[in-house]
Amino acid sequence: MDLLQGTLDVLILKTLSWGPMHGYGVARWLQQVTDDILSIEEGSLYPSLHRMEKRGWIEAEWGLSENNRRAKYYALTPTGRKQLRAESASFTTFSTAVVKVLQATKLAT
Amino acid sequence: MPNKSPSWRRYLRFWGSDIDSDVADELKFHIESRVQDAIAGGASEEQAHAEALKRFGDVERVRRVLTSLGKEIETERRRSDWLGELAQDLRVAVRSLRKTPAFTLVALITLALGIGANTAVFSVVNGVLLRPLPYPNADRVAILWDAMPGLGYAKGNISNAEVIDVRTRTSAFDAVGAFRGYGGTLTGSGEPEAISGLQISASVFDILGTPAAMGRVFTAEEDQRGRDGVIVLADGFWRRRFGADPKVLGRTLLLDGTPHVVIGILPASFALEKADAYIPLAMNTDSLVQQRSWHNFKGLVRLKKDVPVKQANAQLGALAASLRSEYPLKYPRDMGFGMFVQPLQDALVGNARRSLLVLLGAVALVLLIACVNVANLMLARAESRQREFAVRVALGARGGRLVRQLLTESTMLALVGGAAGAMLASWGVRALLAVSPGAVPRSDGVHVDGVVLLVTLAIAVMTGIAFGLVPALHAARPELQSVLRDEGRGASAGRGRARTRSLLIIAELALAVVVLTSAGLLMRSFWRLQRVGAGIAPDNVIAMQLSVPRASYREPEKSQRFFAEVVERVAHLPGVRDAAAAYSNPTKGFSSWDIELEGRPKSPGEADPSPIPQFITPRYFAALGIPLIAGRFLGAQDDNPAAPAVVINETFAKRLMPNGAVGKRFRVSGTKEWMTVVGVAADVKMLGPAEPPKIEWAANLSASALVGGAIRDMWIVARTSGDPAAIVPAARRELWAMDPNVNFADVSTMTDVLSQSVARPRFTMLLLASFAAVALVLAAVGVYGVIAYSVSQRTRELGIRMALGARGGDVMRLVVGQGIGVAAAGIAVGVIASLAATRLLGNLLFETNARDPITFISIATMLAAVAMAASFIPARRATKVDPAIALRE
Repeated sequence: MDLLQGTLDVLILKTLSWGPMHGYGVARWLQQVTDDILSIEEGSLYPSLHRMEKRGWIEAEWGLSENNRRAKYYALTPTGRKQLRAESASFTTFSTAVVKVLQATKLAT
Repeated sequence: MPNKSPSWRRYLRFWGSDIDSDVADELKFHIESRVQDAIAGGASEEQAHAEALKRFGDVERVRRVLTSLGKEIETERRRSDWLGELAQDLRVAVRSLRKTPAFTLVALITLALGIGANTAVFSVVNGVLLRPLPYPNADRVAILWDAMPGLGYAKGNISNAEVIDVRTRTSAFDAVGAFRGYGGTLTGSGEPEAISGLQISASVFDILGTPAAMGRVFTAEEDQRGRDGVIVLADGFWRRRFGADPKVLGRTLLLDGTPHVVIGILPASFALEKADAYIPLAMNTDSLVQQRSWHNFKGLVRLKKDVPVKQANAQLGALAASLRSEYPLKYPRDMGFGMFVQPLQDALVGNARRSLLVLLGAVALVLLIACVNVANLMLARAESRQREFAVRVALGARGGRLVRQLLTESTMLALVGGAAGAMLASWGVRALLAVSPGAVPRSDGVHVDGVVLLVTLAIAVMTGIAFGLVPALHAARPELQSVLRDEGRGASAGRGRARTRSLLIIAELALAVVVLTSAGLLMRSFWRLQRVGAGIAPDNVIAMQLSVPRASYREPEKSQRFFAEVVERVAHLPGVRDAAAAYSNPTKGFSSWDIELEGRPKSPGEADPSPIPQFITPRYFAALGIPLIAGRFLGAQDDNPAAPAVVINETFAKRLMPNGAVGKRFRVSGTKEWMTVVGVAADVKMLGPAEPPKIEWAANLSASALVGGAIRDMWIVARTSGDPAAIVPAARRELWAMDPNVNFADVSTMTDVLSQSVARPRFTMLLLASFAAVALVLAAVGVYGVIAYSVSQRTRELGIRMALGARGGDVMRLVVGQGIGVAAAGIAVGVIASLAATRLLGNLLFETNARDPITFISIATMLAAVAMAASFIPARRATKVDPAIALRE
């Protein structure tokens, strides 16, 4: 399933809202939560992460992973949290609208 | 929460980012984690790898995207870090400078003076030496000179035949033109006005490439006798005389009674020589073309593209050599005849270059001295801020941040000081040029403009770093522990700083010695210049130029009678004690005529002596106050055209008639009548005392017809009992009663004329002397500061000494002795530096040795005395130390 760029950002932001995580952690989390339905190409997570870092939505810091390896951790910034709220609100509006259209079509038949 | 990364990694950012390895690490971590998870889930290693890579997608592409993103992030972060730190530094700087207003004020005044003086001098250097001439190809325009070293002329005017030779027999030039000064009287509109103009060949406009601002310039056709009734006006003259009326174009003006049609107005930037108007030279008549010995023109050339001046001069040298062999009588071997070109800019700037460069050097030294003083102030200030710095270091500020903080403060001081200095300079330059007219060529283009302000900005920034660096480096390594435990005062750190301050003061005194000795030498030289004098008594003498038009004064007798009557009428005005007229105005250009001495046949190749002729009315020597050395002055009884009597000057007598001059005879080459020397008068040096002496002779005006044709320009001088300028209106009325179509020009008192001749040396001397005064004050302040500081540091020690029985005198000697020690070292270094530096003054010194011991000794003594006085004040304070209080502290 293809994902819109903005959609992937919202998903990542939402994932990070539970706490700082490294890129692999984000990928695994998304995979578990969605039962791998989205089957996101994992490589595409990283440009998204770095772009959001550049915009100041998330910040990165090197730390040690659960298995004691050096890993880059990402955490939501206040701006990122605000962004997440705004994006998820508009995404909800959007998806509600889409659902409405789809259901309306069914009713009219 | 993850563990923090090791702190050393932060330092990697100092040496450039490690984005590549960060990206590689991050991606590697992802893939390896995925592989491990898969293996843990039971997959084979191979399967796990393949699956991980498949899930990830194009690793290389992601890596590229991340690397470029990483670089952008890094750049942005650095910029924002830097800006944030700068803003913080600026805030701290403003706050801390406002907390110490006395320091800030003293530092700002010092810097404003130092930077402002530099801005002022640089704006003059920029306007005079650096600013290009306002002509296209100005770098290829040059003046063409003759050289006759055998006759004492390193460069001189050129003759028409030589101009034609250069035009036809060399290949280095695009165009060759000529011009000469021309004084004429303009009539036909309002009051007659004697104007100073230039007669120029049409090619001069072509060489300079300047079109007229209005109308046109004249053509080669108009540069011919008979068609030359045209005139081009200079911008300034057009505004002054015609109120910038454009309708003057096409009008006919009478110049010396000859009609000239105004065909053009030149732009204000056009400046070859000072002139009101330009008329054709019209050199095409046969008699003029033949003239080879009539050296009456300045040549102007434009070098061909890519022909260097050197190559052009080589061609001119070769041409001069062939002319010498073609015309051995015109160019005798001893004359050493040669020809050369000098770039127009050099010719216009002349010897002002060295004066300006010396001033620039001196003013830079003054700025250095100012820097040392402010650095010392900053060091003292840093003492009281030790706690602040120590706290910041203890809180984690890197040394570099402290250095930056202090450099921000010093640069800010320098920028504010520089801004004040630029304002001082723009006002000062105008004042400077106003009080010394004529001291600097091209001074109309001297402004504090954009270029000057940019240079000032650069100077200010460099200054800020220069005086901020030493204090900053010192402050950056405070002795943390001792300072925080409040044992800072008197600790070893203080001693290190005291040594630095002493070294700074030694450097400062040395610099001051260099500036002071240079100024001292120039003052001595100027004093000598003044003492030599011009050989005349200049007080209460007025001088005026008077020309009569050729059309109405064709016969020599008529113009002679006219001038004689003018002198007569002026002499009888109330308040006039003596009046006279002279043919050759010693402050202007002059011509020289070859002569032969009686009873001294010339050997082949020997150049004839070529003295300057003068024709005068009898009271000339009395009116100017020129002393008689031997024989007698001229009188009416000498008006014998068959055997004219002459008075020669001292140099003439010494060089050509060493065994007694009175009674000897000589004649102008090509004439028959012998002239008898009846007297010897003192040398006159009105072009400035440094001018080399010239050979001159003077005869009565009546002799001029015999040897020189009609005289139509004369220099009228009058000695008065009161203000000499007051007689001018009456003199003018007398003149117009005789001929309403002429007028006096260049009216000025003789004192002004003479002061003009030393305007440049006076300008250089006064400026350098004021820089020296600033240097002296700064040095005194510097010595005072160091000694006062050291006294305050040693309060405890001095208290102990006094408690142990030292008397006030002992303490005084101790402190003053320290000041003298520093001063002696500084002065010694300075004298050695000056011995090398004053040689750069070169020909600015008139009859003064660049190592003049009297100057050196007086300057050293004066500085030592000043240093002693400066340490005396803190020494007195030291004797008042109360041992009880000092010990308790």
